[in-house]
Amino acid sequence: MAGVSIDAGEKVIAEYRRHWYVLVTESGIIAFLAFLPFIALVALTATGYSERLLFFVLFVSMGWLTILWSLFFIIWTNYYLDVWILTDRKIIDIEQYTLFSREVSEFRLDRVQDVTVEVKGIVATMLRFGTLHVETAGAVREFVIKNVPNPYDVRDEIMDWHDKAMKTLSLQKDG
Amino acid sequence: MKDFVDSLESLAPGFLWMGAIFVLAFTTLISLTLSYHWKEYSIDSKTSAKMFKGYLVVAGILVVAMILSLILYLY
Repeated sequence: MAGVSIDAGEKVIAEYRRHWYVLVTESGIIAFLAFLPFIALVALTATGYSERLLFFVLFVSMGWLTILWSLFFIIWTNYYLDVWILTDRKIIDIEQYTLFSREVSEFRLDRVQDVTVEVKGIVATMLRFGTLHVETAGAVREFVIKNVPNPYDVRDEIMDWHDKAMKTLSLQKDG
Repeated sequence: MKDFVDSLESLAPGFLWMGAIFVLAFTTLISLTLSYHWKEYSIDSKTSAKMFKGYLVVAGILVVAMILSLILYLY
């Protein structure tokens, strides 16, 4: 994969994506617009217009749905490619802003200093998603994973692997 | 309503075919762009191949249905 380096012997532990609620809210307008052709077809059937006109409405509807389907897939692609990868050595943060705008950064697990979980609002509390802030030693910027499902479990997993990375590091120093 | 329907009936076939070609060109462009992204940036190539096939199948069905509807409307 372009821009992402996983060394030989390095194990991928988990991948974290945003909660499905984010995808639903981002594609909600598309779902609404996709209903319009069906409303037109029902209205046309109720008013009893000719069969020929029905084919015209079908033509417009299919074209409309094709464009919406493509737009939905762009949203889905942005959602799917925006990911955090936890390996046994580091965390890779891939920020997919739009199709042609992405940022890849990574930090070693032994550099992790503090992980903070932020759950805001009724929806986030009920559906169990939140934002994770990771502070690393020496880094000016803070790493953030927004709207991750089960943020407390993710924090625990990161901290577990951080502890393992610290043990490995101290063993290497001693040995 | 009748005026609106009459205005639809008066649309030239060339204009409608242009609309169909626009949708086809748009879908092709998006397909090529998405194909590049899934191949280049996806972590799991098997999943990405399945996703992209799913996109192509649905888009293909919709485009074929659109063209068939246009043919049935015009001829």
